[in-house]
Amino acid sequence: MSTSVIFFLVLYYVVVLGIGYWAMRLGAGEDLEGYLLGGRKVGPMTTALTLQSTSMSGYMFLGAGALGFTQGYWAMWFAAGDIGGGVLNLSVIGRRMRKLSRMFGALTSIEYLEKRYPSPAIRFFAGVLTVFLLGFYVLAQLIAGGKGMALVTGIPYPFALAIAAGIILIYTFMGGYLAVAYTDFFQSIVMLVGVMWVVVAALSELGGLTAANNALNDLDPTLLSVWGKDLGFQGQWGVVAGALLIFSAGYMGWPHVVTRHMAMSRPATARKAGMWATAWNLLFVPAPYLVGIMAVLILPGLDDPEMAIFQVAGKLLPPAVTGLVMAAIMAAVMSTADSLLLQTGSIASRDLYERFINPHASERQMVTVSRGLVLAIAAIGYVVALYEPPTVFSIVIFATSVLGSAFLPAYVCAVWWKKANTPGALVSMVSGASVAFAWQYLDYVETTQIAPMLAGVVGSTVTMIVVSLATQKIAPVPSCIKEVMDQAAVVGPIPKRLLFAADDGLSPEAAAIDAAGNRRQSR
Amino acid sequence: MFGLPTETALLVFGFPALWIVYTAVFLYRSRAWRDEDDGDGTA
Amino acid sequence: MTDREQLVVIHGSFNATDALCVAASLTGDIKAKVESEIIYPYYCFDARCSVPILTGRQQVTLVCLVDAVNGLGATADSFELKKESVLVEHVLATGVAELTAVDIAHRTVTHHLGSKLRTIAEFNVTMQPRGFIYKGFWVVRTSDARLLVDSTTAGWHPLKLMAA
Repeated sequence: MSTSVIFFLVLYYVVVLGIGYWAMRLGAGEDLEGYLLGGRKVGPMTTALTLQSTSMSGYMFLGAGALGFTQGYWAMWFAAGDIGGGVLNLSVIGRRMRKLSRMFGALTSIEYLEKRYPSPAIRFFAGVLTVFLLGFYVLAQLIAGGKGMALVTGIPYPFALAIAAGIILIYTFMGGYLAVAYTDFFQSIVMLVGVMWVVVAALSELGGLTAANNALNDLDPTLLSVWGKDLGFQGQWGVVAGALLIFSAGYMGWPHVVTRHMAMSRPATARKAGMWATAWNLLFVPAPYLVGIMAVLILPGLDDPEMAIFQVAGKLLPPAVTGLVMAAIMAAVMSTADSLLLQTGSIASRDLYERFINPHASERQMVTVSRGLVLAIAAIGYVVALYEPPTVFSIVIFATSVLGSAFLPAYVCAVWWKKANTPGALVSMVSGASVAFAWQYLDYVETTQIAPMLAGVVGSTVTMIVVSLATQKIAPVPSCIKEVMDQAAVVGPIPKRLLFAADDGLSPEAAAIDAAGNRRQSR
Repeated sequence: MFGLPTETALLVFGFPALWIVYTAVFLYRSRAWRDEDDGDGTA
Repeated sequence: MTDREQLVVIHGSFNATDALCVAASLTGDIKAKVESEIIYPYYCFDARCSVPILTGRQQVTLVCLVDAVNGLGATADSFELKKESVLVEHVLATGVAELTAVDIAHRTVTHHLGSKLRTIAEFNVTMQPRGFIYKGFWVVRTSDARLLVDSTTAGWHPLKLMAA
């Protein structure tokens, strides 16, 4: 990489820090309190772009590009599901989960599961599994950051990896100063412009999409097929279903994603943000896969498919733009890793340490546990990334398959099925995780032609239904939970569409007033 | 379409179209969602 | 009973008539009636926090309310308080002890700061109790619905229909 790329990369970070500094210092006190209180100034588009950019991670820039490079248009099965993941998640469980979590007073998505399915075993298993799997996801970001940093700067991989880990830890321990809405928004715009520029440059280089596809057809027509290179996945609908599911419905089983519903401050903002998210996904999600596919023609001698997007950018863009795009990509990777580590730290300290080991833990102890775990994940991740780095694609697919399989029925049934009870949820989580894990580890995909995600979700869904129904008498869902879920019974003549205009924030007060009314009546 | 086989074109353009429709339906059905700031607080 | 007491209440600009309008517009029932007024109790705390910023730490104060019936905590925007004379029978009984409320408030604020600022840090939160504050709600009855209407926001929520 040229020194001008590095120059613009450094300049980019200076500008970002400058924006963060300005945002925090100008009217610092009031702005900070205003920001802490409710983010009133952050509108739907900013919210959407912030959310989307923090989920643009190493997978998109390394994994997706690699998949496009190696398997051609087969990769688009993953994009096809991913485009709708955000709006699907929001529309199916978003608002209901927000309401339920407020009624329960749950702070984390794991605590929420325990409140809905009362049992310490739920919290323990969900907490441990999530910490374990998010650790893998962090590993993927670390590898992405390290490889990207090495490519851009020319620094040897071990040192680049250490720098990437260091930056991630600084983000996580220094926090919001670097991650205010303005900087995320700025980075999202740079990333969007940059990635679109790479796509347009790649297509121009090849004479347009039709010409590029014709050239691919001449090279290897199977790259244009939906069944992958050499038609390797032909007729494997089980694998196709897994690819579609993993980043669409699968999102509803990710504790670190569904937690956003709990933090939803304005339903109308979230609704509009959902719209912007789909718009963003339509542009952004297919782009890395497409660039990966085009890289087959632009960089035929590429040794590391994971570097496809970086290398295409380096080859086709002016140095200034390359520097900016690299920086935005790196920032997205760091930001995602930071988000994951924060979640993991929070789950470890609240859902495991405070819940099971030290219920009277002080703030200091909680922070120590969180930081300790973050450092441990970073250290273990560094060692693995250095000596035996798996591909970003394989790590992310593994982690998200097991997560989605374990938790999808639990989160969906929590808000939609009043009969989903504690034994059903516990067995569902254990079986989903076990099936997905075993399917992957024992390589059943080859023999069954069914993706781990699909097998896992089927396993967890069936067990949720069967076990919940079989144990209704011995482990009924508490009536207070059923009442919270059951809006319909109190509707009367209010049209269903208007129920959406009810203030969910008043649900706890309404429940208390109803209970007080019941007590008065029974006297 | 764009030099792609029919199945691939359906995959590349069909699913996004489905999601656009889905999002439009969701936006229509949720049009009454509250616009006021519930914030984190009850006050 | 007509016992009254002086309580600190969050100023609400939506009165009984406004609540009736809300109910009528929702249900189409122009004969809606105000069934009762509810005075809902909250514990109020000033949470003094020390927040890390690039050049050191900044002191901020957040207001935290803890629902004194359900024990649910939440940070709150600023509000205007006034002393009001209310009927004792309208005041909902509390169900949460003050010590528990302090713990809940502490937990709520700490979690809120961590997730808002996206950082793992100590915030040295100290809770200054401000005692009870109350918010007024209207319970409106129509021919076949009951609604709870917030006197500060006019937000509403359905209530259970009770036997006549």
